[in-house]
Amino acid sequence: MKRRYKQLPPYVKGLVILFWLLVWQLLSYAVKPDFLVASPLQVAISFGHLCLTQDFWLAIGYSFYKISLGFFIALIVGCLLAVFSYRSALIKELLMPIIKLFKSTPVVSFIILAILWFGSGYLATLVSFLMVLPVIYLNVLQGLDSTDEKMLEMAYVFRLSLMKRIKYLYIPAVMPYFVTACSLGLGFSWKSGIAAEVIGQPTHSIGSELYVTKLYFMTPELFVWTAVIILVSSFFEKLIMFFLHALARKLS
Amino acid sequence: MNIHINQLTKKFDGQTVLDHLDLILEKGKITCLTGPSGCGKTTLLHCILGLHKPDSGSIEGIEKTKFAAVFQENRLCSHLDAVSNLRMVCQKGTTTDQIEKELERIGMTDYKDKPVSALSGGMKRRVAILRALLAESDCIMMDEPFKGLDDALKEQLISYVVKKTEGKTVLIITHDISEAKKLNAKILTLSSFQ
Repeated sequence: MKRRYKQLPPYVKGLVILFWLLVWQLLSYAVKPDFLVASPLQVAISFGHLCLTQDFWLAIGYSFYKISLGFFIALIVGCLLAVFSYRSALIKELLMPIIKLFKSTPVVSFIILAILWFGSGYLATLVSFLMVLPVIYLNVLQGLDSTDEKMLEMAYVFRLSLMKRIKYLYIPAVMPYFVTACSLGLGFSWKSGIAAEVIGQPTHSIGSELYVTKLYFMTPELFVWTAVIILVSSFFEKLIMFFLHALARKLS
Repeated sequence: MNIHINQLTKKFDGQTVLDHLDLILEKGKITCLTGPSGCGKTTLLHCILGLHKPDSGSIEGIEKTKFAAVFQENRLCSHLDAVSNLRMVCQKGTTTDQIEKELERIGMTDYKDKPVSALSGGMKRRVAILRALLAESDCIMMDEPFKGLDDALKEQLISYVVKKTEGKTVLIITHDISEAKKLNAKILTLSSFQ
């Protein structure tokens, strides 16, 4: 029999957050030297200061733009390559070594190579593109391969147009794989994009700000930037997922 | 134009399913194909539809034929409702009202908005039959279309099929000779060794 958890009252969530804030506060008292763990209060004050600076918003804006750009290019290119591979076994074979290479190469190697070849201007875009591409490509291809062969035969017999085949057969088959790929890809794009910025240090970027906090032991700012990354990437993921689910509902 | 099947042979993994089969499907007539299980009835239907390539022999008279079919499995889009499944194959300009009227004629009024996955086996079968009848076609292939339906519904659907297929070339696979008689069909029996 499946175990069921007792339904907890809604205020418990608030109490849980308070509990962990308290643990954090105690930890910041206990750990010496002081700069190793900033207290929640110090982080809140730093956040207040940073919010008032133009550089804070510029860094968020540019990082968001460059990382999302890489993600969206990977989304389009990954889908197109998956469609070509689905249509042609030769293209699939041709692409497989490159995709495997992208998948297994450590992100740091890409970052260093990209700095050497292209500089650090759009480094986050390039790295996030390279990290997301295999995820989108492989998932969409798997979705296309999962399209019911018998339904495709039906479409052939009834001479359904390509648009109808896409709408009624391919999209429903691909959609679950595509949503999973987007969810995974969004996480990858932010993690790799920020890592690229930390190493490449382009101007106006979250990664560069993170690097500065490390240089000067600015732990409260480090915590603030980390929270910003989590918040912005979660917001981006929720936004994309909202549109994807709306699209899936519309098409079903 | 009649459909001529000449010396048709089809093998699967070296096993002969159809062996030099000769057959004529008369234009505008209903032909019922009977025979023991495994004798190649469905394979023949798939060869005519172009889903299987014969190993030898030819099928003449299908070059410009528009086909519709009822498959052994229903092959409906399970996430869509009956109307959407039917609209998919209808000619441009067919209205939802027209589709709903046809659904009404086969006793599906109350279920037209439900996703096909929520329908019973008999209802799914009716939608699959109606899809073949509503699609623009010259020739309809039906693989045991009335299997699993109760007698009253079968009677109703047989007369509906007869009415809607007037002037079309129809091939129906069935194990039930009484069905073939009710359809006023020419009966052909396929043996295991043609």
